[in-house]
Formats: sequence, C-alpha cells, structure tokens
Amino acid sequence: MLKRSISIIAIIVIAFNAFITNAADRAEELRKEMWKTSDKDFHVKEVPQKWLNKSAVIIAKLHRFEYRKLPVLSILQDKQYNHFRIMLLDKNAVNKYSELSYPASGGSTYVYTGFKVIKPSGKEIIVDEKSAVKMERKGGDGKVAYYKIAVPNLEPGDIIDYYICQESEQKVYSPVYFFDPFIYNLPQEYPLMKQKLQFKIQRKCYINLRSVNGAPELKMVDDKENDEQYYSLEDGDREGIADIKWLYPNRDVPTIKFRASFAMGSERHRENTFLGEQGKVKNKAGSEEIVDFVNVVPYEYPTKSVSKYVKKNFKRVKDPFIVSTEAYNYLRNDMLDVSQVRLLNDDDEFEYSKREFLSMFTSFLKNKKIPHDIVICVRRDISSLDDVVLENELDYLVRVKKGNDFLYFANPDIFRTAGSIPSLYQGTDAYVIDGLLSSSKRVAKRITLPSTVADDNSVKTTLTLKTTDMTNVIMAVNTVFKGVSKLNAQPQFLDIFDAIEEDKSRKYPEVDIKTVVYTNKEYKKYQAAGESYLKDKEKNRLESLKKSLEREYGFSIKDLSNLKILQTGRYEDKPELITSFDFSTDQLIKKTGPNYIIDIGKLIEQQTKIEAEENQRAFGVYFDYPRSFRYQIVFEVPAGYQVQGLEKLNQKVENSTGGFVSTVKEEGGKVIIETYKHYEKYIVSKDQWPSIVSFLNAANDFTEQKILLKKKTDSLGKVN
Amino acid sequence: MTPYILKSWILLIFIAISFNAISQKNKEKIASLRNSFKDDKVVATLMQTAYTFAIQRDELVVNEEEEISMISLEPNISGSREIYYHDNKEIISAKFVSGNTSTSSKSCGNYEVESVFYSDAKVCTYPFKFAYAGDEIIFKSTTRYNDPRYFTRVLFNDELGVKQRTIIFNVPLDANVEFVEKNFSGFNIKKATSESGKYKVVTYTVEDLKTSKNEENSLGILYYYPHIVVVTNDFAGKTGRKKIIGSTDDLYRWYAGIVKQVNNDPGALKAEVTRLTASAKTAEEKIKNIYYWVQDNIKYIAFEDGISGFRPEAAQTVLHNRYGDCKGMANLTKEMLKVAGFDARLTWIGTNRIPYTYELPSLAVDNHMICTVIFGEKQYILDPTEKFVALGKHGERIQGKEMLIENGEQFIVRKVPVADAEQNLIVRKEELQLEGDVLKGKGHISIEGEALKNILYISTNVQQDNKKKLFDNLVVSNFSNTDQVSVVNTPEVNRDKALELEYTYGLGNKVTSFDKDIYVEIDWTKSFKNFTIDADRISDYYFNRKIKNRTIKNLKIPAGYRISHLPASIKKVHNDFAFQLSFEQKGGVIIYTNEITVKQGLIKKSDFEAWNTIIKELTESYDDQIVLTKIN
Repeated sequence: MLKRSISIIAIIVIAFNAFITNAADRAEELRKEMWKTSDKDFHVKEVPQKWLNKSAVIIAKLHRFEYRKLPVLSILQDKQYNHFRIMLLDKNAVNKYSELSYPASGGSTYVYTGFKVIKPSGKEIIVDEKSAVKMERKGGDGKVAYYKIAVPNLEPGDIIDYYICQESEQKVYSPVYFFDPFIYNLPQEYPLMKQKLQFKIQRKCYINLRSVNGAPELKMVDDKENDEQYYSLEDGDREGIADIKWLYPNRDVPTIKFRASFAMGSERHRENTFLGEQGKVKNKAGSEEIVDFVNVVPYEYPTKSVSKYVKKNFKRVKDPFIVSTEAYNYLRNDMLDVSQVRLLNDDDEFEYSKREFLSMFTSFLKNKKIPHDIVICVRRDISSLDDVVLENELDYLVRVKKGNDFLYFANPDIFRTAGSIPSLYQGTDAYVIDGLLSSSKRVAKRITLPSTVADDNSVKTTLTLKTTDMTNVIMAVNTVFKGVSKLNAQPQFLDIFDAIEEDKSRKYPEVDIKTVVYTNKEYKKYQAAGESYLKDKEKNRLESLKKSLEREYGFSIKDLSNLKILQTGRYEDKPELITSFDFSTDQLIKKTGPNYIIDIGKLIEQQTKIEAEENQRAFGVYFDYPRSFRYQIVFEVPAGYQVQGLEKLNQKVENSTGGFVSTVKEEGGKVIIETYKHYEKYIVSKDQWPSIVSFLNAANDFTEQKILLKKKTDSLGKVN
Repeated sequence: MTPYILKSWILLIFIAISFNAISQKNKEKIASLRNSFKDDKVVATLMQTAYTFAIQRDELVVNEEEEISMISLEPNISGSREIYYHDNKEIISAKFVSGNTSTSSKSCGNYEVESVFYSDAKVCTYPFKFAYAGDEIIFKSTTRYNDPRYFTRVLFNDELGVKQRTIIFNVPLDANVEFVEKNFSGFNIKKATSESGKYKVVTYTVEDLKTSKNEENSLGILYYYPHIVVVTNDFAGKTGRKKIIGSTDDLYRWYAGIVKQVNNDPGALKAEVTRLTASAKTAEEKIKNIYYWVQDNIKYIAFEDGISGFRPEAAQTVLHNRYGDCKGMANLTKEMLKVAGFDARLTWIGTNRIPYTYELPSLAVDNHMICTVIFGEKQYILDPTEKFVALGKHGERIQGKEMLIENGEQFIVRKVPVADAEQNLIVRKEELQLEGDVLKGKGHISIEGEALKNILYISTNVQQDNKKKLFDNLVVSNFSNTDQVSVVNTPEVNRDKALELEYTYGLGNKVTSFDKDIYVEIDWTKSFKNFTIDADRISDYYFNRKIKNRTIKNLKIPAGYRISHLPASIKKVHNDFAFQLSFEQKGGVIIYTNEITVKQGLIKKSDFEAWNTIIKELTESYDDQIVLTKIN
C-alpha cells in the first residue's frame, strides 16, 4: 500500500515538474518571441518631434489572437498576445506605468508576462517578476486573483516594453462556440506610431471581421502547411484621443470588429447564419442572412394568457393598433410581479430578452392574424446597418400595420408605451420582414425608422415664484415630459408600485408575486419587504428628488413638498408625464444696498458648458435624440418694487443644429420669461460644431443673468 | 407569470403561526431599540469581546472571542460581518451560530488599501440577510494574535449601534498588561476588576453605543470614540520574565532591532551622493540637494507585508528601484546623508491622525518614518514622502507631533515645530477695470506652504499638455469659453520660494448694468461662501491645513461714474479663526480686501455655532455687490 502511495506521489511530482518545465519553456519561448522579435517597430527608440509635448507615445503595440480546436478532443484554445512599447515623456506617464497589474494563471489559463525598461542610454533593465505580489480572494463563487508589479527605476524619457500573454483552454459542450467579440478603436489614449492586430485562426473556424470608419482592411495570409490563416492589420501615425463629449467612437473613429467561432460542421444550426463559411472571412451580413437568422425565432411561444385577456376585454375591437396596444400593455403589466421581486432584492430591473419579447409578441399577432413586420435594427452608437457583421449587434422591434400606417413596439419596460421607439434606433436604417409570411417566403425590405423632432422629446416647465420676505423664493413647479425625455424622467417619479396601482384600474389579472416565488415562506418575506419599502417610499422619493433638483439647479433648496404625479405617461391616451411640486430657496435673492438682485437665469437649470479647449473639435457630434426644453418663469414682483434688467433676458441664437431663445415681458405685476432650448439633430458634422457651441453658450450665458428689484420712488425720488 | 399553487395547508398554517409568534415577540424589542437607535436598520443587542492572554510554547498569544447578537429593525436588510486579519492575526473560527436569518458563504482574501501597493492585511466577509423586522442572528468568531505587540487597541463602537457592549480582558496573573483608557469622558463606561483562577479579569461594559462614523474632514475616530490602548509589558516565561513592550525603551529597542537587520550598502550610494553634493557650497546645501532629490525621484509605493511594515528596504534597493515607502525613503535619505558626512538618524513619528505621544509604549503610537539630521545645535527634520516641501518646513500632518529619534542604544524624543498659518499664506492681488461689460484684470498670486506643495506636485505630475489648463484654472476658476484668461509668466518649480503666477483676464458676466447703475461682482471666488458645518457632526472639522488667504483687488472707478453702494465690511475675530472683508474708496479706486485665517486649520465642535453665524454674514456680504452710478 505504502509502495503504491509513493508511486502515485512520484507520478504526481513528475507530472507537476513536467508542467513546471513546460510552463517555463513556454515562458522562455514567448520571451524570445516578444523581445527578440524581428519586427523592427519593436526596436524603435525615438519618437517623432511632434509628440514630444505629449505625456507618452506608443511606439509599437501588438494584439494577436489565436483560436484553435484541438484534434479529436472537444477542447478549444483561446490565446491572446499583447505587447506594448511605450515612451514615457512625463511624470504622469511614469506614475501610470510604475504600477501595473495582470491576471494570474489559474485553472486551464496560463499567463506569461515580461516587463523591461529601456533607458535613454539604450541600457535595458528587465524587471524581476518575483517582485510581483498576488492579490487573491476566494469565496463561494470561486477565486479571483491578479498580480501587481511595481516597475523600478522608471523615469521620464524611458521606454517601457512589456507583454502580457494569456493561453486558455476550455472544453466545449455545445456544437457552436463563439469566442468573445472584439470591437477595437484604432486611436488610443496616447499618440501611436505603429500597431498591429493579428488574428490567427484554424481554417475550420468561422470569422466575422469588418474594418469601419476608414480603418485599414486586414490582410489575409493562408498558411496551408499549418492549416491556419492569419489576418493582420498594420496601422500607425495616429493622434491620441481623449474623452470627448457626445462622441460615438464606434461610428466615427477607425474601428475593427472581429469575432471567431467554432462549429462542428454537421451540427451547425439555422441560427448560426452569421457564421458564414468555414475559413472565409464574413465581413458583411446581407438581408437574406438576417432573414434566416430571424426565422429561428420560436413562433409558437405560449400566448394563452394574453390572447384570453384580449378576447375577453376587446372582443369586438378590430382595429389592429388598439388590439396590439392592449396586448402590449398586458405584457408590460405581466412584468410587474417579477419586477417587484427584483426591486425588493436590489437586483437589476427585469426585462424580456430581445428574442423573448419578439417571440411573445409576434406569436400573439400571428395568432390573431394581425398584419405586422419584424423590424431588425441596430443601435446608432454601435454600428450602421451596412456595417453589421455580428448577430449580437442586432436588435428587434415589431411594427403593426394598418393600411399604410405603422405602430411600432419595442421591448417593454414598465413605462414604455406603444409607438415609442428607443432613441438609439430612431432614424436609423433597418430591415423589415413580414411576420405573417411563412419562413420560406420571407424577404427583408430596407426601411428607415421614423425619427423624432426636438419637440417630440420635450420638457416643459412652468415655474411660478414669489417672495414674501425678500430672502426666500417660494416656487411652484409644473413639468410636462414627452417622448424620450419622459422615459428618462419616469424612473425618478414612478416605481413598480405606482405602476401596479395605476394598472389596478385596468382589467389585468391582479399582480401577485405569488406567481414568481416558489414557497410561502419566500412570499411572506417579500410581503414584509414590500411593506417596508412602501413605508419609506415617499420620504425616499422626496430626498432623491431634492438631490436631483439641487444638482440640476446648482443651488440648495428646502421645503420640497406637495409632490404630485398628475399624469404618469404610461398610457398612450395620456402620453405625457406631468408632475408638480413646491420648494423654496434662500439662494436666489441677494441684497445689494437698498435693492435686491435675483439670479433669475439660474432657474433654467445648469446648462452644458463648453470649455475653452473644447472649442475645436475633430469628430462629429452624436446626440442620442433631438430634444427641447421650455421654461416659463412667472415671477410675482413684490409690492413696492420695480424690476430692472429685463432687456438682457431677450436672446436668440438659432441655427440648423438647434437654438436658444428667450423672451421676457412684464404684465400685471409679474415678470414672465420664456426660454426655449432645442437640439434638432441626431448627428451633426464636426464643421457644424461652432453652431452648437453658439447656442450652448447663449443658454449658459443666460444662467448668469440677473434682474434687479429696486424700491419704487415717487416723483421726488423718495422711496415709497 | 405562471401562478404558484400552494401545496400544503398544514405547512402554511404552521409557518403563519410561527411567523406571527416571532414578530409579536420582537415587536416590543424593536420599539425599545428604536428609542436609542433612531435611524439604524440593524442593531447589535449584545456585543461581547473577550481577550484572553495565554502562554503557549513559552510565548504570549492573545485569543479574541467575539459574539454579536444582531436584530433587524426593518425587513429585507442585507449586510455582512467582516473580520480583518494579517500575518500576525489569524482567524480560528467564525460563523453564524443561530438565528432565523439566511447567510451565504464567506469570501476571504486581499483587499486594496488606498496608498498601499501591497500589504498582508486581508479580510473575510460573512454575508447575511434579514427577511423580517425582528429577525435575529448571532455571529461568533475566534481569532488569535500570535504576537501581542500587534494587539494594540480595542474600540468600543462598531459599525452597528450596540445596545449592550462588553469587553473582557483575561490576563494571567503572571503577565503584566496595562489598559490605557481613551476618550471615556461622556460615555458611561463601567469597569470591574476581579480574579478568576489564574487570571485577572478586567471587564468594561457600556450601553447604547451609536454607530461609529468615519466623517470627512475629520482627524479620525481615535480622537472622538472611546477605546483602550493595550500595553503588554511582560510575562513569566520558563526562564524568567519575557519582555514584550512595556516602555518607550522597549518600543525603541524593538524598532532598533528591526532596523539593524537592514543591510545598507553605503558604497552603492556614493556615486549619486557625490554627484548631488559636488557643487554644494554649504552643509545645508548638501542636505538640501539630497533631500530634494529623494523627494523628486523616489516614488511612493508602499509594501506593508508582515515585518516589512516595520523594516525599511535597504537604501541601495530603494535607490535602484526609484520607489519605496516612508521607511525606505527615510532610510535612503539617512544613508545618503551619512555618506555625505552628516549625522542623520531614522525617526519614528505618528502623523496627526494618531492622538498619542511616546508616553504610550505601543506600536499604535506611530505610523510613519522620517529622517532627522543633527548638525551641531541645529536639527533638520526631513520627510521625503512630502513632495515639494522645503528644507526647514514641515508638512502639517507631522507638525507638533512627537518624534522618536535614533540615538544609538538610547533614543531622543522631540517635537516637530509647529508653524503658524502664515506659512500657508496665499496672496492674490489684482488691478481691475471695466471695459463695457467686460471686467479686465491683471493679477498676481503668491502661494506658500501646503498649497504650494500640492500645486507643485500636481503641476509636475499632470499630463504635460494639460499644464496650461491647470494654471489658467488656478488663477481664474470656472471661466467660460468666451472669456480670456492667460497666465503670462512661466511659474517656477521651486519649493524654497512662493509660487508666483502673473495673469491677465477679461471676463463677461461679472458686471451687470441696470439703467444708470453698474453692479460689479468683484470677488467671484467667494471663499467659504455657504460653508456652514453640520451641527450633528461628531468630530471637529479639519481642513487638513492651516489657512491664511489674503486677497486685495483694486477696481478703477470708470470715468463718469461714482460709487453709490459698497458692501458692508466685516471684521470677525475668533480665537481660532478670523474673517476680515473691507471695501474702501481711495481716490478713483475701490480697494477690496479679504483676509481669512483658520489658525490651526481646525474648527472645534464647540465653535460650530460661532463659525456658522459668521459664515452666514460672510455669505450675505459676498452676495452684495459694488454699485457704480453714472454721473448725470
């Protein structure tokens, strides 16, 4: 027995030593490959004069990805090789690269690293990785571990040259395996001299790949001997890119989209139409493939409950818009039980998956023979329709047809109404497929989704204010939110319990969390949690609103009260959210000698400020949606005072991108100011940036405007 | 969603009865606890910690056994208990032992500590979730300090409010351990001492302890919350009494013993020292050159791993790495100065976050290491972790603090001199005039002390292409993209002199015309406007530095205008702070001066009311404006 144990131990020790040897050999191999590379770019020691005033310059950068399935075994290899050579030109960069971290090896993932510093003299100092420290945390849900390394002897003028390589293996259980997709913007934080992207893929793999926004195309090298293909991109001489307001980088800066997948040839399923052909790059998804992809939706989704509801309550209604809207609202109501549980658990909000909603809703429409289209669209900030190359870039809407009219439906949340198209799809190109046709007859048609204009997404605020003591201003605020602006505001004023309460007046089945919890014990817990939540709900809502108002107005407020939700905006017959509340502040009136100055401009809330360095812009301007903001400010002039300074409140800057207009009048002892700020476009070219800045500046200037309350005097100049 | 169908009526009834019984039983308990813990969601009804000193293998260890009974005052509350441990403190066991509350598995390991690259500090987290108000759970843990030196203090307060708090020390009769009581005043803490078998038992009890709060701008909880500092002097070992740390001598001996283990190689420093001192004409210049070089070239990266938390890295290693922690930098500075021929010494010190002096022989007394140079009658205190501090000046965090200075087998205790607020003087002088609605200005700002140190550090560590923006925003804050602001000189990076910035500006929106009147907002910085302090704070308000700001602005009265209103001047002088604002006409110029002093950088809680009253008056003055009226 003892002998056997010894031999087992011996085998284990030998195996372990073999592993150590292999890992050490591999580490050495990679070290040579990275640091003894024949690639001249990784031996450069100078950076261009034009970038010497920058914090750092990326001399060379390599990202290589390798994907492979082992023969016979159901094991996939996923390897990533990242190599950086960066010249550090100031202390900021030195600080940043003095402390680096990288993942630890674990399971079937092996991490290989190397760090060296090249001094201006050319001397190379390799960092001893034994000095790296391991940060590790173990728990019931596994282990997380990473290393931190302090890079010694680093000074401005040095080059840091390091690589972090990761080789992983995983067993695959499904016939199709998708490696993580990769969307890579070519410009980086620092200016860049050379970068290389390489994808090394077994010929049996599937490749989705597309260069967009002027990014160079990847070149393919076919290595038949090793049964592999290389795709490689060389890029360089790029300026650094900082955080920029209103930029969709994936739509404006040169970008590469890539994904490798592996599929057993015979096991390929219909939903995998985006895979293309083995070993061939798929760089475009045509409409036919999109149709094939959508056809996989399981149309026989159970719709018994919604059908029963519609049948019972809208039996005689034939209008497809009404029927589909009622069904949609039913599905929205049906989310409330699970949404409530999630809220009480502090979990993310519940939503149907893209395909779940599509199946559920189109199954109902098909069942009722209501004409409809499946709309396949893509978010404006992710891609244009023509640049789609991955199926997970796609989203879905449904549109119901009535003659030449359409009513759009998006995956619901508890607020979204029929006809509401999420802002990032508005005005984009999409494909539509007739939902009533059988799969074989379906053809995709290209359309442009409806857009909205600024006033469709408006916020209109009426502010009535007065002062009785020349210190505090008491305000009554009434706000009407529309469109996308409404959807953004609703979560602040409404929650799931408000929706449940409102829906009680409809004919839906009672919302009961019993339907989504599995034991009575759990049910009781949620009941108690719900009671507790409701107990503090009003207090919490006021506190949250107060914080939000103080942030938006830029001054502190007090006595927030009388919050009323006059209309929730959750139903299409009353589509606006309308709220009202009162508050006061002592931060608007300033006593100046015998008179008072009022910071009246601050009442249109804090406005976007463009910093001096933002005046120049190298990229287009991308807004999520056109929108407008109207303010009507009615100020009751205190008795015995006259108002001065009104003329400056008349401003007008308008152009094709938007505008800011303000007018003022005095009548009946009241000053009435009306302002209108509007953003007209989704996308504006960089050339038109000054037009945007002009109205943003006007609005920002307005916030600085003041009026003067001056004691009235009689004809002799005596103060009355 | 799919309806849930009840399966067992019997089970339901049973659950309902037991649930009602629990909620009824605890209802009164909750109501009673609410009286003491108004806003708390979970309260510890009992928190008992027993520290038992035990002799194991001729060494003294300390076992910590803690039991916490928690009750939820509200339903649906998630939380966790944390146990921190390190190389000298291990977790023996920890678990929830009873209660009707769901728990999930622990997670343990390293955590990131601000400003520390790596330490041996680890934490285990034990999560729980209360479903109902009135739910209870008991958490029991046993930990052990394997070296009593690291068992330094015990806090009474917890992150939970505690109804009944008990701390018990069981000390063998042949061990000599002292318990130093801190901040007991204002707390009804009862102490009882007894003997039980071979142990002396010291028991502290207190009721109704509020949750401890780490408030912002506070010197820290050690100044305000009751706690006990444990001084473990010695115990009876097999061969006689064995010392731990019972006196400052012991503490120094232990520190010095660790420092002796450092293998410094002066030869490796020689070239750099020679280079730095070659051109120095005086001894002071040599010290300065070395001190500033370490400040500028050694990056602060802290390793606090076991004994490394006390033992400096060898000087040649820090020199080569170009990084180190306070000990590494102090040791490098000392060794370089020694190579240069100076009597330089390592010095232990507690920053102002620690309210103790070396009368208390404990590792809890200090948290920092610096270097002291004895030069004839002179003494230079060098803290190389302070970037851009001048020789002879000292960071606020060590001013007034006791230092434990190396002195061979002995030690010297001295205090770091305390500078007055004038050392942090910031002076702004501007000449202003109106051009239409634009306020044109030409200014000069001079910055010393802590602000100088911070600005020099930021400006030399910001991305170099952002430096201009940094200085522009320093001279005029929050200007718009149509305003003209420009720093006209190249600010010198020199810690020995005030930072001087010359600038010009043209600003809209600072002047408003109404009819024949022009309203001028002369000071838009409005220092301390609305800066009232929450009266409910537990701790004094600490600005992290003494404050002395002086602003002088001269506004030229435009031709054809006269002054029709000047804001009222303010002069408020308190023991610890002073505000003086004045508006004065001299010929064709309005002279505005604003001088604000916070002598110790600290507003005591007892002065909050006085401070807030002045701040309100100050705010009113800031809201007021200069009014110039056109002469007909």
